Amino acid sequence: MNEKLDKVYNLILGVILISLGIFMILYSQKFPKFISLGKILPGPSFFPTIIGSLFIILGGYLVTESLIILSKLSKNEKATKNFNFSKIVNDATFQNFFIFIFLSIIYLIIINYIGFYISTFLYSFILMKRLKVKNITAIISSILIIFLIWAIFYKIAFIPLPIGSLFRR
Amino acid sequence: MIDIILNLFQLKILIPWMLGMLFGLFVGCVPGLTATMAVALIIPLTYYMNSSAAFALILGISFTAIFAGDIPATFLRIPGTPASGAAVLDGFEMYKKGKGNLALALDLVNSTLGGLLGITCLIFISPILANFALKFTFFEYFWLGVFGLSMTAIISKGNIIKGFIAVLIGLAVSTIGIDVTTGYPRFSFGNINLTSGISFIPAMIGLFGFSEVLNQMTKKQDFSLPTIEKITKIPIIEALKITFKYVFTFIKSSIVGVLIGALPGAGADIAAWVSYGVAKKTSKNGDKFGTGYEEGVLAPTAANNAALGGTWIPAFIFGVPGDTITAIVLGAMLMYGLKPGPRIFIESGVQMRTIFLIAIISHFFLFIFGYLAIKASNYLLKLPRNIVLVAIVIFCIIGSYSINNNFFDVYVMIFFGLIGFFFDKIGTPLAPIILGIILGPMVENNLRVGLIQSDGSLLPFVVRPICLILILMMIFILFGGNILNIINKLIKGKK
Repeated sequence: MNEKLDKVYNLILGVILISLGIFMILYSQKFPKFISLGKILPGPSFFPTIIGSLFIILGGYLVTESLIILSKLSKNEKATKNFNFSKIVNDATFQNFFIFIFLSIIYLIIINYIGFYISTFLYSFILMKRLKVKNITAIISSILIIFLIWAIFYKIAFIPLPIGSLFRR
Repeated sequence: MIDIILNLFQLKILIPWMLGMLFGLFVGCVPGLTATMAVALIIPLTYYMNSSAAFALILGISFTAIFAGDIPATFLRIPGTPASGAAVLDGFEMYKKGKGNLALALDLVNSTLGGLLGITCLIFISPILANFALKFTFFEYFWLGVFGLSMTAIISKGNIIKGFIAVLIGLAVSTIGIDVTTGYPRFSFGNINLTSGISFIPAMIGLFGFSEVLNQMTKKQDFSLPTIEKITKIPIIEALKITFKYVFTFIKSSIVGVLIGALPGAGADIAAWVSYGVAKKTSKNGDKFGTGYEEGVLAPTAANNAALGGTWIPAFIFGVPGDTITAIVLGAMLMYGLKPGPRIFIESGVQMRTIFLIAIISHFFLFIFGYLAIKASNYLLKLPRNIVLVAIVIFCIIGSYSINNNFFDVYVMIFFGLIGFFFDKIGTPLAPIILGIILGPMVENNLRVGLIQSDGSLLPFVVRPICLILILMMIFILFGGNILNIINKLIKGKK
């Protein structure tokens, strides 16, 4: 990976960690104190405060290190030059990523309404089509996957698969 | 003894035994289905069996499930069971180099031999080990947890800062949910699902499995090609030779497995991680770990099956379960009139000998069934990649759902899948996140209860003998090489 880009990512990670650390410390101050026989004992906020503090320290280290290295690197090596936004967005693999995540979320939403069997068939079929499986193979494979899951989870492990509110009496 | 062996080979025992082993293989291979769940499901069936058949069934499931969890860990980067997490690191890398079958052959050989060594320890030195395990109090458990966390420095492939960031994320996740000491819900934001905490199984499936699917989907490749090009032989002889070559690593890892397994509340998953870290640090080729190195497969797979023998030690001697499976089995033991305690070997000698023989013979069956399972998994991977990828995603989703019959766990899995995907891209190791989630409660609860017990003093954490041993071991493993270098330089300087 490009060193400059690597440091930009580290910088972003560092900022996220510092924010997370500050949030953990502040939020955990709301937790009740643990007092027994008049003594203050290590309560619910004890460990999150330690972790939050370590987040800030490590995040601070990443931010400082990244800023120092970024300032040293020459300006003509700008990390942004490596980005060609339209090229990335039009890239099939990049689209696969977003379509896959989007379909997964839609699947999780519709499974509650139309149940496991239909939603899984649709999800599996669309994903396979996206990955260039032939129609007939996609249909047969999707049915086989559903059958396998039904057999393993429902029949053998007794795990109830969602029926869907539309089909529930 | 021969009478017992002949008795075990009756059909009424043999059939449930074999079925149990097949069921264990099956459950172990499917992410989300755990050995604990399989044993819990099967317990009601044991009410209709004699004690030998019941124990054959239960032991058969638990031994095969742990091994089977390594199969998807190697081929798909999805640990089938929590104990297979550490097997992902080098197993999957070996598979990427076209040595998947060798990784699994090594796995099978070491699971079998490690398991047998664990059972041998159970038979011969269980009273000593049980007494050692009972010496562990909050202070020692705290250091054991820290010892496990310190493995981060070893498994982080040279990127220690990012490794520690990953372990901190795991620790932070472990603080979500009801605080065990006070009962206060932390970071739940009024969400009932968050109140019960984040289960590490969907997190693990997401971090390793879902993120790998994302990774594959965003690669430029021909998806119609099979996942493996051709079915090759399973090189058992080569695996035996490699095990023999690294025999000290095998022994070391198995002993670590037995010792950690014997500690109530620890178990095979922690044993596998710690043994991996110890093997990497003490190996001549430690830098090769994580790149698809045979020793890196050997260590965790020997340890996780050896730990199973260890978990039975406190269960038999004191009635204290080493893990959740033994907790369930303790109930079954009482049902069959086996009273756990120091006199169990005298009072129930025949039954105990039967259990030991079942455990030993189960490992020979494990070898046969395991071989067939690897062969079968090869045929599945001959399917085109685009079909396998979709099947994996659906199994990841339904596997995560099945843990609590709740889609919240699926969202957790996807969330961790995204974290895994991006962390992979920026060179942050994923394994320490799992280490943090697993060990977080152990470290936090024991630190707090220890501090409460000692009136806020840190002294008991450092002066107790086992604490000191653990601290020294940690220092030696982390900095041993550096310390030896400094000593050598000082000696040379004086000369």
